[in-house]
Amino acid sequence: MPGKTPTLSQLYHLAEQLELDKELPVQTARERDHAIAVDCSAGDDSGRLLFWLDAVSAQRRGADGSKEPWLSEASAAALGRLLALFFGFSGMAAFLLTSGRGLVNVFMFLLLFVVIQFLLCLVAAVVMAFTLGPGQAPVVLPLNPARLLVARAFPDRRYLREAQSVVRLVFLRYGQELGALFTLGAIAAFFVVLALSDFTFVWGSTFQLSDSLVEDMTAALAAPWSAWLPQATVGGDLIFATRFHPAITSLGPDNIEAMRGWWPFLIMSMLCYALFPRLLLWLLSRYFYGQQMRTAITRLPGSERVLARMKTPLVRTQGEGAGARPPARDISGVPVDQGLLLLNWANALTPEDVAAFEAFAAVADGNIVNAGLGPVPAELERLASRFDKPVEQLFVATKSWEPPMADLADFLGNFARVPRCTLFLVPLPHKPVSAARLGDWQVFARALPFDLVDVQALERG
Amino acid sequence: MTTPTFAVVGRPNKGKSSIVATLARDDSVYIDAKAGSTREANSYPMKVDGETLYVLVDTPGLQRARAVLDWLNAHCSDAAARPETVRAFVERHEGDPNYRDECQALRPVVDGAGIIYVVDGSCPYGADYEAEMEILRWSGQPSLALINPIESDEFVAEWTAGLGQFFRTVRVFDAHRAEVTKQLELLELFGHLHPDWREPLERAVAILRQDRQLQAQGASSYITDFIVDAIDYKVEQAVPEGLPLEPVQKLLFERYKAHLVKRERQCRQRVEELYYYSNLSKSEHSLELEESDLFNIEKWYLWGLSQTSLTAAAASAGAVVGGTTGMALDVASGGLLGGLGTLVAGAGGAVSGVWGARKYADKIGQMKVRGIPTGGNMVCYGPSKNINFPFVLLGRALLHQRLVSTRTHADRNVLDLTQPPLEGISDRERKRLAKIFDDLRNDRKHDERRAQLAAMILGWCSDVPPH
Repeated sequence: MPGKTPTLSQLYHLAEQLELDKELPVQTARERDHAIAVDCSAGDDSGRLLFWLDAVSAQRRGADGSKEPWLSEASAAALGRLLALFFGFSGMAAFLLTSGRGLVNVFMFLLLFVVIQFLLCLVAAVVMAFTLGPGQAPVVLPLNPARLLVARAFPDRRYLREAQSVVRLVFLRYGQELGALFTLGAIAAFFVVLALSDFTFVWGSTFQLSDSLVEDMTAALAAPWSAWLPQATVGGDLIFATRFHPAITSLGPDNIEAMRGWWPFLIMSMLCYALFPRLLLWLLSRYFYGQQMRTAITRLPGSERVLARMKTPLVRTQGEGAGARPPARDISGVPVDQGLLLLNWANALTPEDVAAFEAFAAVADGNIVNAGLGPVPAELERLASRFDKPVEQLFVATKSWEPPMADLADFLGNFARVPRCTLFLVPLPHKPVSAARLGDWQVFARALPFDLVDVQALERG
Repeated sequence: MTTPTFAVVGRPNKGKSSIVATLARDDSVYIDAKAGSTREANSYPMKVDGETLYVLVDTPGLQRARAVLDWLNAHCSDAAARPETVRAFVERHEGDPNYRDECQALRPVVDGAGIIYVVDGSCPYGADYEAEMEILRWSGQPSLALINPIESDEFVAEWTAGLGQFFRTVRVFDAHRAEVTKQLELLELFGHLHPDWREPLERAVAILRQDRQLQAQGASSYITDFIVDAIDYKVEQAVPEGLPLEPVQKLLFERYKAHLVKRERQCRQRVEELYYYSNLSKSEHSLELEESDLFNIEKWYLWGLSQTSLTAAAASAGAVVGGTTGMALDVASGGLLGGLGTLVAGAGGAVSGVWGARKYADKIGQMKVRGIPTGGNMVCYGPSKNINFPFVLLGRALLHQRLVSTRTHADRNVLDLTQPPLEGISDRERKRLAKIFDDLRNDRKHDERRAQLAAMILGWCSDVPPH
């Protein structure tokens, strides 16, 4: 993994995993990432993150079993390359073969196969400069054929801001690749048609250009290679001889051969201004793609936390034994009193509460009844059997945060024959029963029809 | 060399467990106002990648010191045999229920642990303590005394004088309020008790110091994530042609709120875990805060900026954006405008910033409805354009982080999240924040601004300088 350029798909998976990690407790993440780091030999941060991603998402990927789409990025790219070659070849062949009387206008040739290509390269260079410079990727034309290929590179439909510059470089890479293949196809067609068919190069324009101006222009265009490849330049004689006018009649074999003298210049123009910049930009976009991808990976929100967990030692100072926890209440020694009945009013107590409060230790398991939630007659009927047996004391657990209600008073009025009743006020977690609320309940208790009644505020441990 | 071990001993209810909880950063240590809550000796090893650098042992309180000292006196013939006599006492009485706590406390000491003797500085010194100090002296182990002012420091001077007769080192250490630097200093001091313990304790302190910095980095990273997410967040829903929009708008607002509340809670939980809090309970205020205050604009003054500060910050951020544009105009004109572009665009930006601050002051986000070419509407809520909103989120997050990071693990009180949090931030920083939030909101230099925000938050979260 180290040294290998990450893919867009890995970037997306990493972003997804980092998002999932936000749900993970810190200690769990610390232990997991530290264990992963022990086996990691990557020398740079992006390598570490990719190693981590592989280790963390191995199981999830296995479980997903996601299928490759029928038209993957690779197959779409192969198809795109073939089409670029085809369009380049057929474009050039059509241009040459459809020229009237076999006369090919050099200016039109240069415009279509050199100037436009060169201008597109310039636009691509500007886009690359913007992508790498201010970090704000410019928009991509909807007509750009590279869109079709890049669309296949996304593993899902998420918008990932961190991937912006990387995606733009993928656009550029594919754009230059397709452009270069188009030019190669055109060059191939040029040679094939030149070998098989008779056609000649002429020049002419509606702007009355002088021979010397055209000579200067061609000399300027040929400047990069004129010194070491003079055969690929055009001289004044050829320019004079190939000036087009509608009444041109000198199309004998000798003249045709002379007029063909343009082709080395045209080939070199294509190589120098259409193909070479494309290849240069393609190489640059490949290089910067790797660089930007590594940056994007380390810049993903949350990746800095993973790296910190991987690089730092696993520190633990907390206790490990059960002794660090509060001692459990030992109520095994408390004798069960069958004369006690616990009335759990409106679910004031959870099952855990019953075990947690010492006050209820003496209540037998079968002597806990719930009330205060259903229809009153049904509850009274259900409780009647309980009161067949002698009940010496009634415990009532109520919610301390609720005010005393007549409903409870009415309900307890049915059990006035029980000699003693204790109201237990169950507190909220972390909030003891307030004195004011205790007072309310004490007033309420005084009005209950028992011989002996008291109120106790429970305390959570 | 054996691992440095420190037994924290003393009378019941003098804050031994609190000291251990603070130093071990363990909020699960059982602490009770009732005396004798610790019944077993519990170990708290500091482990770094599995290697134990030191161990703290929390012990039950000594309850029958005079009887133990009597036994020791009765069974010792000369001073050189005193450590062995203490060992003999422990071995003889290990199963005796009367001396259960004493044996639990003395066992690590006779096994070679250093002694950290703890007393309460809010209670007066008494001669009745001397028996237990004498027993500890008999053990012959290196020792120091800590005065823990549980309720006040009224008797600290008295204790310092009294303890000085039995211990060479006496320190005051408030287990409930001690800052991290004080905790680290104390650990370093433990290392001075024995030459062999110095190196591992120094290493431990260096690692804990680094860990503290990592906690601040982690907290700033989680808070930054949360704020950037909240600034960008929006919810949308397609509504078919002919269906009413109002219920969908209500639903979207609820979804928007629920998401932010969940993210805020998640951020807090992670920050608490970073500082090793697993049982931290929040006050009723915080529950209200999570559920409603975040969306109660009238209460935002508690967390965000005041109207005046907000206007100044918004004007400044607008002026910077406008001024930059104007400057570009001036440069492009080759100075022909004589700086007029910068001046006019800067002023325009400031006015537009203030206008934006006022326009969106009474709402968090905006509900937008746009038609879909295939029919129906797309209803969207957010992202928030309210200038105070990220300040409110930041204020709440910073307050929580500050309370968590400055609290000790012995503190069992609920978090009080009602202090004004952004008071300590200077005007310059507020303006800078306003600019960062504005750029994040408008997706300008996103990565760079995010990094700047994280750096600023880290500055506010850090409390331990690199060693």
